[in-house]
Order: sequence, then structure tokens, then C-alpha cells
Amino acid sequence: MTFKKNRLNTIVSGLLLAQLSLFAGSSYVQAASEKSLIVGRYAPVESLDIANVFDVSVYTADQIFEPLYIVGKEGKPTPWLATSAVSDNDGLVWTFKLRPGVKFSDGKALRAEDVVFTLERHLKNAGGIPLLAPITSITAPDQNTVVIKLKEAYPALLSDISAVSNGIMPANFAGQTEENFFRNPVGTGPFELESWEPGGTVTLKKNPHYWQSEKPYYDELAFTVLPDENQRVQQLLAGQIDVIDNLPPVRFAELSKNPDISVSRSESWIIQILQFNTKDPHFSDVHVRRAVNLAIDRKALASATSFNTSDAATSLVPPTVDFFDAKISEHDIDAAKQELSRSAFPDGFSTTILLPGGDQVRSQQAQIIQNQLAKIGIKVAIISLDPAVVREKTHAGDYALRLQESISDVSDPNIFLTYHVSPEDGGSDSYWTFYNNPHLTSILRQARVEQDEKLRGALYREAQDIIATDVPIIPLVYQSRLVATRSNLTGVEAIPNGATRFYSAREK
Amino acid sequence: MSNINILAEKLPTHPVEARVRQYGVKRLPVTLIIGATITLLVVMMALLAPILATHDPLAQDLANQLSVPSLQHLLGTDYLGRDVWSRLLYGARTDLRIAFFAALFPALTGTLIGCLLGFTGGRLLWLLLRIADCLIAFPFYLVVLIVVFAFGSGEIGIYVAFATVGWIPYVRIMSTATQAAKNQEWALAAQAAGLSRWRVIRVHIMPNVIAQPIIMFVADMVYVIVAIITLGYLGLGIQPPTPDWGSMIADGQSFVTTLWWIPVIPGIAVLITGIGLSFLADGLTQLLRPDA
Amino acid sequence: MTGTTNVIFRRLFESASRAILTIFGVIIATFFILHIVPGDPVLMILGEHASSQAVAALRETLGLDRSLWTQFIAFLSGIIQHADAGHSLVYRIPSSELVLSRLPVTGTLVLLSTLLTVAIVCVFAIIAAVNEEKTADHLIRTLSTLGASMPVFWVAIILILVFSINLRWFPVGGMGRHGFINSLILPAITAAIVTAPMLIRSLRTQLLEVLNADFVNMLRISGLSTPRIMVRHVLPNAAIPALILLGINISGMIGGSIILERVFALPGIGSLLFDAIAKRDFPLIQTIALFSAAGVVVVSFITDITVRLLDPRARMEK
Repeated sequence: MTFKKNRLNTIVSGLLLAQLSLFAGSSYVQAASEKSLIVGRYAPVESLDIANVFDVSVYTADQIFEPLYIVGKEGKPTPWLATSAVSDNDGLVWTFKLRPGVKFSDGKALRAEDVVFTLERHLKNAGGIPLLAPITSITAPDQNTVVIKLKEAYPALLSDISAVSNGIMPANFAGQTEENFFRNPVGTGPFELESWEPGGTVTLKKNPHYWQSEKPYYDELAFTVLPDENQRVQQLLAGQIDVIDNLPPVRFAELSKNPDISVSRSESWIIQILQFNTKDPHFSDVHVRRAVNLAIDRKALASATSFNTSDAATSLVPPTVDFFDAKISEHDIDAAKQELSRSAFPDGFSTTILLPGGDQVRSQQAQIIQNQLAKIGIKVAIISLDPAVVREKTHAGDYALRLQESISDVSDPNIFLTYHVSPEDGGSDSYWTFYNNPHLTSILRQARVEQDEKLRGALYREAQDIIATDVPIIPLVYQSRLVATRSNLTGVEAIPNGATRFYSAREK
Repeated sequence: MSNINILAEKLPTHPVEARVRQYGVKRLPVTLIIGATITLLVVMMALLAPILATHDPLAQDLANQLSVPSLQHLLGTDYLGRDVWSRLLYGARTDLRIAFFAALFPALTGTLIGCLLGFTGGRLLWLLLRIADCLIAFPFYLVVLIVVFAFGSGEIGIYVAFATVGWIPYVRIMSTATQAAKNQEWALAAQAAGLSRWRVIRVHIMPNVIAQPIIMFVADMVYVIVAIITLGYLGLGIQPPTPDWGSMIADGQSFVTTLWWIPVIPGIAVLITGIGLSFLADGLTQLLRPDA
Repeated sequence: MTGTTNVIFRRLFESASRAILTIFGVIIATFFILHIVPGDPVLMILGEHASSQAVAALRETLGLDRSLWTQFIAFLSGIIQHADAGHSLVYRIPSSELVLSRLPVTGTLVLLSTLLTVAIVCVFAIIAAVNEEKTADHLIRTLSTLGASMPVFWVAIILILVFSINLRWFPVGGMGRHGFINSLILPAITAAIVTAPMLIRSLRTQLLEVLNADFVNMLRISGLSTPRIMVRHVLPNAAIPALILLGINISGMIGGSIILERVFALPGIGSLLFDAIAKRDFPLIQTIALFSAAGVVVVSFITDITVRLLDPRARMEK
């Protein structure tokens, strides 16, 4: 039995020698070359079916598929695969002219029938970020024109069309089955799929037929999965990855001081909220909700939890979304106590706040809110559960308060507001607050079809007013987009709807 | 799961009291003394937390986030402006308490069942051991994750997770030990004299086999504390705002290269507690082990 | 001779049947446990914006609306036919395919960790035993207590800080262009640091016992050198309990890979499992649980046999 120790020694020495030779050519320090760009994301891509996914998946698929109009850097819908969109006087017929010279990654030209196929599919599936415009038909009178007919006027059409999930794909999946197509997708975007380890790294390569000449500069764009925040930052610092497009606010200051890293802060349409279950015995009372609203010091909360990178929210609508109007009541403890005394629980009560575990920002917010509400006699117990259970409980109405984060995908407030405060129209029972205000619902329905900008604006201002008074949802923080890249990199664009554009990225 | 090096030990051939008398206090193993001292120190700090703490561990001071250690805040403040030193002390209370009870329940149940079934033997014991085989085939953290996802993070999740798999080593060892002990001369004599099964177990067998589970229990406490910390890292730890070393380390991870004391000091606290308990277990093993 | 062979075969049969029984129990347990846990995979896949029609439609597509018994039969037949509990709900490809694609990373990690652990344990336990009660012994025992009291991710963070960030010897994490083995060395060292302490203690205890045994004194008197005695005679005898522990710890490593892979961002089975649990991807969780339980059982089986082979009593019978 002598083999054990001796052979072991040989094996270990062998390994050490092997490692020395590998590390001699140590190439792990330089990841970004002219050729490839590596982005570190916090979760894996689940599917590239852009019309049916969210989060990380959709912000990867959007490198492959592009919409007719795209959300620009300032948030406005910008001509992209279409060069113009004209509506008739009643706003019922919209005519889109396609950009000439656009090709898919398989070399075939973009034609109107591809648009028809894509949008009809999206309407039918109603998945992902749904297309809620009242579309009655989509037709292609000729190869370069698409006509969309609406049942009623819908001024938000251009904005909704610019949502990420409306990326155009070839008609009939270019002859493949649906399943196969999304494993080998064909799109007009700057990149196409090179390889995909399920649950792991997705590597994209340059689309040789991309319609913007000279772009993208990088031959390869890879998205790696790094759920551990420390790993993400350390890999950026070590140069193993080049971009983090969702930097945790707590690292912002530290990285700004680092000469190897550039950090940027930009507007986003992400809003952090505190929502009430209006069926809860305490929170069905509007005075209680107002009291909670007045008791929360939003400014302190925002600067503490975002480490001074984000602003306090002033309306349920994000600031760069159309018709934004700051309406929120300011922090006032005395007013809060007064408001509470008008309710059925003047001496306070005990309740719970629900939030997903593993999220440090939300945990911080919950503890701050707990502290602030204690000052008016409301005792809050924190319940942090894993996201799957939180979602289930919320949908079942099994919660009192919940901390959440919501995002507007487009610059028009119609979908966003409807989704959050209109029970049936939004399809989510008012974001599971079960809030039902018929007057508000009718205002939103009117605003949805009102073509006159001034009138529309007035309607949305009134809506925000009502929301600020009734407080079914308390907007807390407008979360900024924080992007960190290696300092030799430029051209990475962070868009308010959460997307990141890499086609202009290049080395300085 | 726990200190299965006891498996390697032979059964004590003499009752425990004889062994302790044999040693006498002056010749107690060094590791026992060191371990007991350290553990006692940590327990004292936890018990005296209300006196030793300089602030309310839950008091927030948002204007004063992440400050450097000063006279006012001995170890600085955390991301909500709370005093780190006070949270460290109260964290000791939380973690020691949870570690104690989480390790105790399976220890008690496992020992009792193990003794009983070891004595009676038969099909029931066989079935239990087979169930144990199945449970132990699951990686420990897989079980913990599933339990915590089911019952929610925080104390209850930890208690249930440990109760689910923690009893197994106790049952295995106690049943083996009991089986061996019951065939020893003094046990056979007791049975022959007509004493009831329970009396034989309680009075004659238990004192001789109890050493091992006690040592395992102490070692298990270390394991529980480490698991609490790990769950904190995975975001499934003790519910905020209760101070606990695990969440202090988890929340402080982002600062490990800048404000390093925020995660490192609770980590050292865990280390010291772990060393104290491990030395205690070690010392007890030396004390109660047969001659080697 | 026939008597001994019979004994060996009988013991093999016992071990094998115990292993099979365990796997069967694990299969049943994995199926039912997941259906008790709250959290809906459909809601996780479709996201917050899901309409109730979309939820119902997806539930039907995935077969989650069938009765529990039907699902169980489908589950069983999948296991028997493909060693697969079904298609991953999230990725829509066979779960076994997913697991197998990740196996090289986790498998190599466990292998590397085991080799390192064995090396460390042998070396330190022998030094400690030979120097009983002297400085080296106390040092080793104290250090190993330290290792046992530290959570895995803590050790990992410290090692990364020292070796990756400051010394730049290894990558910070992940598995990219820096070479397969290169990315696994630091994680393997971490695993070894956490696993070795208990084994060192056990091996040392056993070594001490054997070293003081009569037959060793006999060997010493007859003039054999100490190293030779150590390796040829003492180690095999003392190794048995340590081997049992090693077997248990290898199983622990399979589970510990959940955390290790997360800290080092390694694309292995552990990180796949964590994600699957968060998303309630039942078939994937079940397949992974099955694979790892099977791995554990196989390891115990091998340990069982090795121990019986090493047992001097068995050898002497020959």
C-alpha cells in the first residue's frame, strides 16, 4: 500500500507544473481587445424570444432584434427600422415607411411582411411587454410600407412600438420551426448569436450585414453570468470583464475614484415603490395610507439607499416620461400623525412589509421605513422571502405592504399608469393593490385616446393628482442607471428603459 | 454532518465519573481549559450586551452612514448609520441563541431515539437507518435551501433545516453505542436483575454513552453558526433588522476592500467563537476518551 | 478460501442493495418535496406582467396542470428511460443535458479538491502524530480548528483578496480565457482548507493509536526505519476512519459546490442548482438532486468497499 503517498505526491507535483505552464501565458488579465467585449450580468439568459421575455433575457435579445422605432437616449421614440410614421387625421391609420437597405443576418432584405408577421405574433401571444394598442389590422401594401389600423385613436402607438419586445424577426421564422429559430435567431440587429451555454455565457458575434455601416466595432460581444456582486466588481477591476451595466449604487463612489474605471450615471424609468394591499383592514383606509406617505422621508431614504446616486420620487410617473408632473406630498411627521388620527387606528397598529430576500437595497429601505413608521405608532415587521414566494403571495393578495421596483418600458405613460392603477384594463388588478377608482380609470381611458396634446397632458396631470391623494402606491426613489466600464472603453449607451446599446462601443 | 471522528473512537470501558476522578482538576486537558475560557468569554459578552453596548443596535442615523471608528462609535457605523460595536454584541446573542437551540433539538431527539431503538433494535431501527441514508444522500445545503425557500428565511427556516438532517449522526452513533453497551457485563447484570428497559437505559447505559453526543452537540453549534453565516451570504439569513453576524458580514461584503472592518470584525467574532467551541469539544474528547 | 469469498460477496451485495434502496428513496423524496414547497414556476418564467390567460396556457404546456399521480408517472418513466426528470421549465431542454454540460466543471473541482485534501491531510496528520504534544502538533491542531470554524465563502474572499487581487496569481473568478485548471485552483484550495481540519484530526488520532500498538514496536525493534514503518504499515491501518470521513466529505463537496461556485462565479452544477431552486424549475432541481444523491451513494459505496479491502482483518484472512 505504498502507492498512496508516493503517487499522490506525483500527481500533485504534476498539477503544480501544469498550472505553472498555463499561467506562464497568463492572458486572463486583458479581456478587452479590439475584438471582444465582455459584459457581466447578474442572471442568466432564459430565452432569446424577445417577445416573451424580460430582464436579462430581453436586454440580450435586443442586440439581435430591432424595432421599427427605438427608444432613444433621451427616451423618445426614434426612427430606426422605419424612417417615418404618419397617421391620418383621426389617428386610426398609421403608415410606416421602412428604411431601405436593411438586411437580416442571413443576408435577406427586410420586407414589410416580416413586420406584419412579427407584430401579429406578438399581439397573439400577448407575452413579454405586451403590445396593448387597439390594433385591428396590420398590412403590407408594398415591400417597404406597413399600415397599422386602429380601432380608436391611440397617440401612444409610436412609443409602444418602440418597446424592446417589438424587435422584428423574419416572416415565418425564415423557414425554421419556432423552437429552432430562437436557438439560431436571425435579426437585423448589430449582433447575432455565436454560442450559448444554457444558464451561462451567451456569446454574440458581429452581424456582417448590419445596416449601420462601420458598426459595430467589436467582433464579439459576450454576456457572462455573475450573480455575486463582489465577483462582478472584482472581475471588472481585474479586467476580466469590460462592462457592468447595472452597478450597485454602493460601489459607485469607490469605482469613480479608480483611474482604470469610468462610471456614468443616467436617467432611467425604474421607480422603486411601496405598495399597499388596499384589501388589508388597515390599508383600505385612505387616511392610513396618507399617514404612511407623510411619515416617510423620501429624500433621506433615497440618498441613504442609493448612496447619493438617485433622487427621491415625486410622482408615480418617472420624470422623463411624457406628462410627468411632480405631485407628491412632502415628508411631514405632524401631518402624518394628524392624518392617522382621522383614521380608525389613531394610536397606530402592527403590520408587515414584504420584500424579496437577497436584495440589499430593498432590505435597507424596509428597515428605514420600519424606523420612520414607528415614529407615528405603526409597528412594521419585516418579512423577506425568496422572490418566487413573494410573487405568489402578492398575486394571492397575501400581504399588507410590499417593496417593489417597476419600470416603464416606453416614454408614454399610458401603459405604465393603466397597469398600476386600473384593475381590469391593466390586467394585474392594479398591480395587485386591488385599488379601484372608477373616476381614475375613466380619466385614463380618456387620456388613452385623446389626440390633443394639451388635453391629454391635463388628463394625466389630474391622474397623477388623484394618485398622489389616494396613494395606492407610494413612489419612493427614481433609480438612476449606473454603468461602469473599463476606462479605455467608450460608446456604451445606457437607455432609460433599461437597455444598453453596444453598437457604438469602441476603444479610445 | 458533525464530528464523526468520534466514530473512530472505541467505547469507553469505564463509567464517566471514574474517568474524571482519575484526572483530577489539575490534570484537565489544556484544550479544555482554553476552549471553556474562550466560550465563556463570548457567552459573557453576549449576556452583558445591554451593559457593554454603547448604542441601541437598531438606532439608525442616516446622515452618518459608514463612518470610520471613532470615540463615539468604537467600530464605526454601518450602511444605516447604526453602531457596529453594539450590533456586534447583540449579534452574539442572536447567533449563540440560535446555534444553541438549532443544535439542541436534533441532539435531544436523535439521542433519545437512538438510545431507545439501539436498545430494542429490530425493524424500526432498520427503517429509521434507511430513511437516514436517503436524507443524508442529499447535499446538506440543498436541503437547507429547500427548507428555507419553503419556510422563509430567518430563525424558523434554520431550526427546521437542522432538525431535518441534524438528528441522523446522533441516531447512528447512539444506536451503535447503545447496542454495544447493552451487551457489556454491567448492563447485562442490570437487565438480569429485572430492571425495566427504561431504567436500564437511563441509569446505566446513558451515563456511559452520553459523552459522545455532548461532544457532538458542542461541535454542531460551530456548524450551525457557520451555516447561519453562509445563509446570510446567500441572502436567506436572519430577517432584518435583527443584528446577527451573518447579515453583518453579508451586508458588509461590498466594503471588504474599502471599509474592511465592517465584514471582517464579525468574521473574527465568528472565528473566535468557533475556536472556543471547537477547543471545548476537543478538550471534552480528550477528557472522556479511552486511553490512547 | 470459499468462505472468505462468500463473505466478500455477501458484503458487496449488502452495500449494493443499500445503495439502490437509498437512490429509490431519494427519487420519491425529490418528487414530493418540491410539490410541497410554495412558489410557482410559471409565475417565475412569465414575470410580473403575466396575464392570467398566459399563466394558464403555460401551465398547460408544461404539464403542470395534470394530476399529481400523472406527473409522478411521467417523472418516473423519464428517470428510468433517460435518467432525466423532464425538460427544464426555464430552458426547455432536457435537464440531463444541462446537468451533463456542467459536469466537467464541478467534477473536476471535486476531484481537485479531493486530491488536495488528501495531500494536505496525509502530510499534516503524519507530522502532527509524529510530533505528538510538541509545538508542531499544537500548531497544526490550532490551524485546523481555525479552518473548521470559517465559512467557505469567507475563506474564498480572503484567498481572492490575497492571491487574485494583490498577487495576481489567479483569476478573480469565472471560467473564461484563463484556462480551465487555472480557474479551479483557488476554489479547490478553498474547499481543501475547509474540509481538511476534521480529517487531520481523525487521522492523527488513529495514527497515534496505531503508532503505539504492539506490532509497530515489534517492527521498530526489528530495525525498520520510521518512514518505512509509517507508510507501509501504519498509514493503511490508520486510514480507515479517515477514509470514511473523506467519503462523507466528498458528498459534502458536491453540496458545498453551491456556495463555492457562486463565490467564484464558476459555471458548474452548484450554480445551476441555486438558480433552479430560485426559479422553481422542478424537473431541473429533481434531476440535479438525483445526480448528486447518486454521486453520494456511489462514493459511499466505493468507500465502503475500499474500507473493507483495507481492513487488516480481511487481509489477514487471505
